[in-house]
Amino acid sequence: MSKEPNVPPYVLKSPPDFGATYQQQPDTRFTKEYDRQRANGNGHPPSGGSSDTRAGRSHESSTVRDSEQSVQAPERPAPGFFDQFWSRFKPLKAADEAAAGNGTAPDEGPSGVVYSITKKTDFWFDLEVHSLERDARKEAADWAAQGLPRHDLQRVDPLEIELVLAGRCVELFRQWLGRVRTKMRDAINAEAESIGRDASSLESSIDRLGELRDSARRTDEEIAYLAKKENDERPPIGFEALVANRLFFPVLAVLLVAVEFFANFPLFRLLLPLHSALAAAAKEAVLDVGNQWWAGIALWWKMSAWHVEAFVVSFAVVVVLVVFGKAVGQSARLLTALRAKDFPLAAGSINSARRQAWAVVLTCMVGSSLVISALYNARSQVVTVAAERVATTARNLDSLRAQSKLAGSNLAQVSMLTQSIRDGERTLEVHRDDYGYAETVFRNNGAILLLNIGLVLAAGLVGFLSARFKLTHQFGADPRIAELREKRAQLDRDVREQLANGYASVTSANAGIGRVEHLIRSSPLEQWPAKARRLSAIIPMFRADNARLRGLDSASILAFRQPPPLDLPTFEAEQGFDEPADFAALKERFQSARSQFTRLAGAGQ
Amino acid sequence: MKFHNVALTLALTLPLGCGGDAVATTTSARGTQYIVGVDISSSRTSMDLRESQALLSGLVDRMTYGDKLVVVEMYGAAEPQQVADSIRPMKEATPSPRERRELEDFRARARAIVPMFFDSTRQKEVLVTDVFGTLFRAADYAKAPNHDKTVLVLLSDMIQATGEANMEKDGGIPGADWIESRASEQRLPDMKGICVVVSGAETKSARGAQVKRFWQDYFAKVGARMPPDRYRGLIADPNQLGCA
Repeated sequence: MSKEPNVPPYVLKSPPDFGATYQQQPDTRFTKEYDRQRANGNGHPPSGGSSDTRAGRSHESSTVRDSEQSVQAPERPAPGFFDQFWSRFKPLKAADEAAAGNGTAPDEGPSGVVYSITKKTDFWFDLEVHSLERDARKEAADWAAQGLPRHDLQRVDPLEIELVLAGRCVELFRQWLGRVRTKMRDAINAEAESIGRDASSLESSIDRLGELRDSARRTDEEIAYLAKKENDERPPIGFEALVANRLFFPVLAVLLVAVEFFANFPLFRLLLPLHSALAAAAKEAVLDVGNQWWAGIALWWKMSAWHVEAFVVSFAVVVVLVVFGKAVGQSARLLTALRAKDFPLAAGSINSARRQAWAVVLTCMVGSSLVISALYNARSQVVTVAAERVATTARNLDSLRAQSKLAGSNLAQVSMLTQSIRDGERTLEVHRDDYGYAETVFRNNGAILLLNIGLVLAAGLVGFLSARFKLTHQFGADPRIAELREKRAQLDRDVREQLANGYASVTSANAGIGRVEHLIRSSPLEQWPAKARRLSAIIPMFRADNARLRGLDSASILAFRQPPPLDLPTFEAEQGFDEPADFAALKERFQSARSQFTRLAGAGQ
Repeated sequence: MKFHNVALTLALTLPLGCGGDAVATTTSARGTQYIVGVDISSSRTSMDLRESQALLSGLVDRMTYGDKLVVVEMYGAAEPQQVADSIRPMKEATPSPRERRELEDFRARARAIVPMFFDSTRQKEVLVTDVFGTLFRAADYAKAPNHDKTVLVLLSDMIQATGEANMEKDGGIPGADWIESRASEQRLPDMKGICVVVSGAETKSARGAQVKRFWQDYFAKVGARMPPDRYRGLIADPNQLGCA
């Protein structure tokens, strides 16, 4: 039967009050308390402390015990193991979300490199610490059941169980350090290897790119050589213009168009009726023509402007005739200059060109014949049209004169009719002039027909003399050129692929270097004080549980007045991580390759 | 620098030197209004009528740009025949073809109308000659705008033969007091500035002399100008149809 009171067992708090392993920042609140605990290992001040303080603490602890015995104090429900585990190792939010939610930046890099490395190690450490604490409580209970250690016996040497616990703590601390260091070194080495692979890939891309560029240059030279050789060996078949002057055709074409136009415009002016609103103006223009030297030009210009339909039709007819003539001339030149039997190797191409030329000749001859026939018929009709106009005007004039005779003594009507008669006489005069012109045209219709034919022939002659023709690729292109062009296209595709690979390697290597430098600069072992404090609490917990189970104050047990026999190898934790031995050389190699790659990529732009 | 000065001088002087013939003369650009009173009463012989028609035709041929022609019958009918026509003034110093054509048209219209005023078949129908009424109408026509001067050509014997004054009767020619009384009654036409020319008047008889004197006093009273040599039995030259 134990005399010791029934005290609730120590419960691992979540999160722990001090020195949590997953805290993002070192908890400085613990520093003073830790230093004080380290003084004697059980939370009591050193033996040299003031008696007032001890008395006060004794009184306080007895008060607490009394109150716990008399009144069941409300206590926080004890969380289960799963709750403790979840609260510690629940998935963390993303760095950005955490920063946004808490307003603090994560201490790890954006990629969470260090965290991903130390996460499992921390989990393992917590499991081990938990096991150690459980064993410590069990030992405390066993020792308490035996009434050990004796509270009145001052011991010189540490308790054996405390030595065991201290040894396990030291071993656990060493294992944690070793695991973190190993994982960090592994990660750094893995990144370095990745950088090396990227550098090698980049160098491979550089080599391949250089080969591709050389190959493309050689292909281009070969294509140019083959094209030049083909042109030299088999020059294009054709002929040059008989009259090489570049102004020959334009000048004569303009001249022919002008002649035809001036010859045909009056005809269409007589054939196509003028709008009634413009008829009076046209007559006035004819009557008002002065005796200036430019009167003819001015009258012609006015007539052209008023007779828009006649102007457009006659101009189009003339242009069509000249185009027909020129096309016939050019095609005739080709038909007379090229024969298939003169160039047997190019017979196919020449025959094709001759067939097209024949088609042009036939079409243009039919077209020009139709146009010239239409003009001939129009000239035949123009006399009739002009005669009808004269007759109509004469009839109107006779009617006016008859009305004038019937007007009698009506002075106003006589005056008006007199004016109308004079206008009619003038119109009749103009129409008679037109009729005279039409009669002249009709009488000379045959001559004008010959003139039209002559002008078309002249246009044809101009086309014949100015025609030039060049039959290229008459033998078909060299098949090697097509193959080389296909090869060149494939090279271009390969170059683009190598450039993409190279840029991907550069990007990957840059990221790897950044990660390595980040790992080297980062200090996952900075958490060692928290780990150390967690381990340092094992022995005090053993002492406290032992005393509690025995119903004693741990301060009253003389064996517990000695500092815990725990000496953690903290100097090892303070050591940082060195760069891999060949990391600088690797970086230099990569920078060199990158510069070379950039030059090569820029050279192809 | 000198070349530029010479070029500038030539550019400024050449148009002046070459354009001498083209300077427009715009004096009396609005022309003259001729008001012609035609008397075909029975007191006039057919020879008088032919002479008057020839003079009027000569006047028509003499008319030019800007002139106006008003022909009025001088008899006492309620609606005597009258016609007005005109030709537009020239826009430039020399007439354009259109303006020349318009002038010819005007003359042709006038020539077509003039014979209708001398229709001998109508002579018997006209029994009275109302010179005063014609003068009032002429004074009204003279008030029309857009002309510089007005010439009243009276192709008449100037013998008023109406109830108000019948000069065909003995003692029927009014005296100066008649003119004064009419003036006091404001029954005279306003003919200030009008040049009056009379062709066909009777001048060789005593009555003719009295009639001439009356009309001289009358025209002087109404403000019209009538030089003594423009009151004649015959004016053969149309160029004399004016007061200059």
